[in-house]
This record gives sequence, C-alpha cells and structure tokens, in this order.
Amino acid sequence: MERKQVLSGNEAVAHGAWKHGVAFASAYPGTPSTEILEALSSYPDLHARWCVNEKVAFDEALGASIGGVRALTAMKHVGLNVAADSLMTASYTGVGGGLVVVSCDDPGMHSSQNEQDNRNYAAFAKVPMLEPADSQECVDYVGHALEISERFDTPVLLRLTTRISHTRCVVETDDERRVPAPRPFVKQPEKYVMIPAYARARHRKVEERLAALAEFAETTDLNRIEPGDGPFGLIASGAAYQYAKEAFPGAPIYKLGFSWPLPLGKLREFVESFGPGGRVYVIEELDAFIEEHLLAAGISVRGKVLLSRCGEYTPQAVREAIERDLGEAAGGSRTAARAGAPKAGIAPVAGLPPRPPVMCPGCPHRGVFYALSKLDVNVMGDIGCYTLGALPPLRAMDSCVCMGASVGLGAGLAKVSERGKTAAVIGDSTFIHSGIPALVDMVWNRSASVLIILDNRTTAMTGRQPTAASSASGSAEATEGSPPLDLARLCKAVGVAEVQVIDPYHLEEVHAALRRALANEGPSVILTNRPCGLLAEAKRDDPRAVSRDLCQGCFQCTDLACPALVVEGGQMRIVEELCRGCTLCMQVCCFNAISVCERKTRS
Amino acid sequence: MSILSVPSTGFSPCAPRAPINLLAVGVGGQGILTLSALVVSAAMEAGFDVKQSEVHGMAQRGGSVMSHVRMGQKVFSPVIEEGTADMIVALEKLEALRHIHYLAPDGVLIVEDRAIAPLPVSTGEMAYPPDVLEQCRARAGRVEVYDGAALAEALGTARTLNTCFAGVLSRHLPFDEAAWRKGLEACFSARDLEANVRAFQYGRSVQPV
Repeated sequence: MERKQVLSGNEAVAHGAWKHGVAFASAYPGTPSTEILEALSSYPDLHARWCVNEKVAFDEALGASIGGVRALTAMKHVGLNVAADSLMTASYTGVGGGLVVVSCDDPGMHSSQNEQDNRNYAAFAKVPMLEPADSQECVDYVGHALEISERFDTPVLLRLTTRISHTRCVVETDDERRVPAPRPFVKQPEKYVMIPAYARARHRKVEERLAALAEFAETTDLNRIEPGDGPFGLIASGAAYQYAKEAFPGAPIYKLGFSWPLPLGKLREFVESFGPGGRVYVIEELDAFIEEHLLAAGISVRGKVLLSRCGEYTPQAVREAIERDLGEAAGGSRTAARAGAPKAGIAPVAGLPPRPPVMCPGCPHRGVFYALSKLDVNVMGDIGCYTLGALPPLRAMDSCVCMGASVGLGAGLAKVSERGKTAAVIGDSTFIHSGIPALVDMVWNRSASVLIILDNRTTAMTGRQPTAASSASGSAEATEGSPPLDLARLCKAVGVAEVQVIDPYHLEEVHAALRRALANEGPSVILTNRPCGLLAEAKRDDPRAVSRDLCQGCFQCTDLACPALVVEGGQMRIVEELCRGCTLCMQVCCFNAISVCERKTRS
Repeated sequence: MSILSVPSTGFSPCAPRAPINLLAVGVGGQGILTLSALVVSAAMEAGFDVKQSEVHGMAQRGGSVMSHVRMGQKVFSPVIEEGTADMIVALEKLEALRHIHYLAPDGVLIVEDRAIAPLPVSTGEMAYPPDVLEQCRARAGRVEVYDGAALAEALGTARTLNTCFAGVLSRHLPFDEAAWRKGLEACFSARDLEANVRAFQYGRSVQPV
C-alpha cells in the first residue's frame, strides 16, 4: 500500500536501497552523506556497515556485487577521491549484482574543505550518472540506478548535493521489498582480473558501453521536457532544477535525471526549438559540466557567463542573472539592466557578533590545543571536530588539507625545519582512515615529527559513528572475539620508539609530554585517552564556579575558548548548566579563583 | 523521449499556490530541527506539499542553526529567498536579528527573549548588542516577543520550549487541530508525547509580552 512519509534525501536513498533489494551497504561517515548508512542500519534483511575509509567501503561493495547481490556504497564528495582508484578500474570490470556509488557533494562547503564537482567523475570514469532532485526521486532513482548497473554492466554514480541530502520532503512509497534473484559468483578472469591483456579488451567494452548509454540517455524517461511558455528555455538537474523552477515556474525546462552521458540529440532539438538566436540557459551549480559538453557539441547555450562557479545557487541568483541577460538582449545596457527594480525589504544587519561553531564544554581536544598554542611549534592539522583548534582564540593549527594529510605534512615539514618545531594532530577515526600508512613512512624515513593522536573513541564531527578502535564491529551485528584496534600497540608495532599515553584534562601532563616528544630525534607519538564529551561513557564532574572575590579579571582562561566561560562585568562567570567539570580553567587560573560550585559542595 | 507535463501533485487544493515560508533559527542544541520537523509533519497531514532544509555538520557545535520550511500546493526550492519569509521563529534574539533580512515586508517575527553569548562575546572580544529587540522592532512591522524564562516556568521545564513555539506558530498557520495532533504523534515517543502536547497547547494560547 502506498503511504506518505517525510524523508530527507539521505533517508530516501536508504529506503530506495532497501526497497530495491540492496543486500550489502557500506560507507565511511562524511557530511552530507552520513545519514544514508545510519538509516540503512535500521532496515531488516540487509547488511550495512561502517568501513575504515571510502576506498575500503567501495571495494567491499564491489566485492559483494561481484558475489552477485545488489550493493550500495555512500560517501561525501571528497570521499570519492579516496575511492577513485577503485572506481576507475571498477568501470572496466563492471559488476555482478547492481552497484550504486552515492556521492554527496557540498556546494557552498557547509562542512567540507573544498567544493569539487563530482559529476566530473562520471565522465572521467566513463560510468553513468543519475541526479535526483528531491526525496521521491532519491527512492526511485536508486532502483533505476541498480537496473542500469545490471543492464549495462557498470557501477552507477548517484550524485546528490547538500540541499538534496538534507532536505526533508513528502515521499509516497509502498513498503514492499523486491529482491532480484542473486547472480552467484562465476570465475571470469577476463572480466575481473585487470592485467593489461584483459584490461585492453575491457577498455573497448567500456567505450562500447558508453555509446550504448548515450543512446539510452536519448530514450529514458529519467530525462524529460516540462513544456511551458516563454521566449527562453532552461536546462537543469538536481537541486539546480528546483531553483530554476522556483525562479521561472512557467518556462520550458529540460530536466536531466540521467545526466551522464548527456542526451545530446534531444538537448540539441530542445535548444533549436527556440529558433535561431533563441536563448537557452544551463542552470548548474559549480562547474560548467553540462554547458561545456553542449558547447563542444556545437549546441548554443548560456550559463557560466551569467552565474558563478562558486558556492550554492538560490532561486534569487538564478532569476536575477537571467533577467539581466534578457534585459541586455532586449537592448538595455548592462548597468541599466542591473539597476532594474530597486530591491525592497530589510537590509542584512552588519557588525553583529558572529556565532562560529566551537569545541563543546568538556571537549578532550581543548587542553591539547591550549598547550600547543603556548608553544613555538608548527602544527599540521587534519579533518574532524579538532579542526576548530585553528580558530581564535586557540589558533593552534597551521594546516588542514584532507583526511590523513597531517601525518605526511608533518614528516615533510619536519625534514626542512629546525628540530622540535613540528607537530601533527589527527583524530582516531581519521588516523585509522588514512593516517596509518603515513605513520609507517614517518618511522621508515625517520621523520622528527610529533604525531598527536586525539583518541576520543568516535567519529565525532559527523555524529559519533563507531571506529575500529572504539567498537568490535562496524555493523550492528554482534561479533565475538574481535577486540577493538589498540592504537598504542599499533604505533609500537610499526616501530615508534616512544608512545606516550596522556590524559588531556591534565595540562601539566600534556605540556610535559609535548616537551619530551619535541626533544626526540626520531618520530614520536602522543595518544590522548579521554572519550568525546558527548558519548555516554564520558565522565562528567561537578560544575565549577568563579569566586567573585578572587577573580582578578585577567581573562587568561578565555584563551581556552570554552563556551561555559563568560566575561561579565569585568570578571569571569561559569555557566553552570554548560560546565562539565573538566577543570582546565582551574588549572590555568593564576589566582585560584575557580573551584567546585558551592551549591553542589553543600549537597 | 516521453514529453511529460508537470506531474499532478496530489496535494490538497486548499493549500496556497504560493508557498508559506517559515524560517526557524537559533543556536545548536535548542531543538530548532525538532520544531521544524513538527511543523513539517502537521503540514503533510494537512495535505500540503512541504520541504524543509537545514545544514548539518559544523553548525552543530554551538553555531547558528537555520532551518527553512516551505509549505504549499507544490514546493520547488528547498530554501527561502531573502525578503520572503512569512514568519521567522527565533529561539535566541541575536539570531533573530542576524536573519531578519529574510522577513517579507508583511511577515511576522516571533522571538524568544533569550540571549546566548556567542564565543566572541563570552571571551569579551565583542559586546552582545544591548538593544536587540529594539533593533528588530525598528526593522520588522510585526514582532511578537515571548519571555522564554516565564514560558519555561509555566511549563515546568525548558525542554519543551521548542514545541511551545510550534504552538505559537500554529496560530499563524492554516492547519487544523487534527493535523497538529497527528504531527505531534509522529514526532514524539509515547513517553514524551503528553508533555509536548501540553507545551504545544500552552503556546497556542499564550500572549506575547
């Protein structure tokens, strides 16, 4: 029976995967993709697991596909860089059961280090791509993607963006799961063993497949014209389709759901239907992906000459850009067209105090960054909550590039720097993701860098998913006899001579460990041992309070960037509801003005 | 290729053609997303097409939180354009002022009289503007201010304040009681339902200060 429910795009992808018979799903957490696997974990009859990184997640999904079942792997845009090595050759091997690779891009970089446009991966890897424009399409397109994958023997890229992944909307779907008959593994070395002799033949198949997919693009209902009135037309996919419809609900629009390879024939017809000199606009966030392929095919469209390659679009931006262009085409000058109607409404208020994200009260990372901020040391950083250590007032991180990069950056920087000046900081989940090979290299090449592993026993930034060091398994299924990874033993096993395990709530211990490690001639590791304050296992102590008699208003403690510490009337105050009793402020206070909250002591 | 017209929406013809735009703002941890989810559920029960959009990730760590809710016969864009919000509900007043340019000329600003210091204020680097509500009133035609502390006292807890503000919002939204009731049931576990129904009903009748 059909039933209405409200689902985010990510939840809808999960529902679609379940509904269309996916048996194996894998992912590494990353905003905006995380909720896909989180949602899948609650469905029956399928196996969903967190993996140590996106490449491993991809490989495991490909393995399950080769084993004959339908499989799905999900990652954020930069995660596909990690899995790209596998994707490029999985394009050659093709699949067994259907294989869907979900890439969640982040135009506007709400929570990412770059805004790369992963549509380019579809063209680069020569695999088909589908782009849903709302949650209903997320459910349905997973099914189409699986069918296309099996019919054309290829992985299929399902590309979402933040505004698709994180928009909740009404979905109508039945709760019936359809599982196709499995296709048991058959040994086919010519298909799956990509030695040059076999790979050459497979490359020819890839090119034939791409041609067949281009024909399919011309006939599939996933691409459609929505007719309308108006002297101009629009071409769009994904979230940009919604912005285009909002801006010009009555304009004819070519909606691409199957957006690689492009239906060049149908798009040419659409553009030519506006007559010579007619204007058709491509609305696409980030790169001129559609536009450049159309221009290369001699199809005349306009796009990036009017709209930015940076950031998210809005209906406003789309409307204004096209109206300006139409105004100019009608003979108005650029400035006159720009002046247009004066903008009514309330102006944004300037000069307000910003509200940046901050480390939580009681965060175990705070003490390490406070200590680093007091040292003359260059800190190579990484991806996680602790990247907030780069912001004022801590300002204790000097680089952040991509997952796992801190370790190698530290090794390289240490080689060309004065001794004792280089440290690298990485979280437990990020270290396991891609820091381990770099640590092996640090030891092998005797890099005099200090690696600080902030082990808070979770992947905190994305909502506290388990890691290999915090949980016996990446899936909900019970496992026996497989203890979590021991990070200290791992570091010793790869040859780190000195591994100091410290409590980051004790500043003197942190300082001492840093001094000792920085004096070392070889590689050194410091491992912190406090769990994320948001985990149930985190201990919470009595809140602290500031004595109004003793506080001198020196504001030394504000350097900790703790949200529970507030300047008030020239003195400090601790917000009792926020304080978790980590005692860092007591340790930095020179006047002993901070102690356990009196009310608590009495009770 | 099949040439399809826009698919029929299947949503109630009573829903307005131009969507109703609601922007909910506040600080991470205040329950902005639960508040939005409740409005979304009620809108769906009332037969509206609805889209709600927010951004996760960095915003969770005590940063500004902003949730867009759009409801109508057919909704395309998941985000509200500046100057077009029919209502803004702000659970923190500095966040009300920060997002006030989203308000339509005839829109209503519903704001909780509550100040949460952002980091530059708590470290003493910047001052929390002392006249936030006056600044809001100077810009917006319709401003309703509610005393968060008084509401929490009346409710006996601050935990259901967000639901209480959904009750305040319900007076400005064209959904009947039954839709709200179903929305509440969809959003809360049996254990929390009663307290939230009470908070909602209180918000539905409470007068602004």
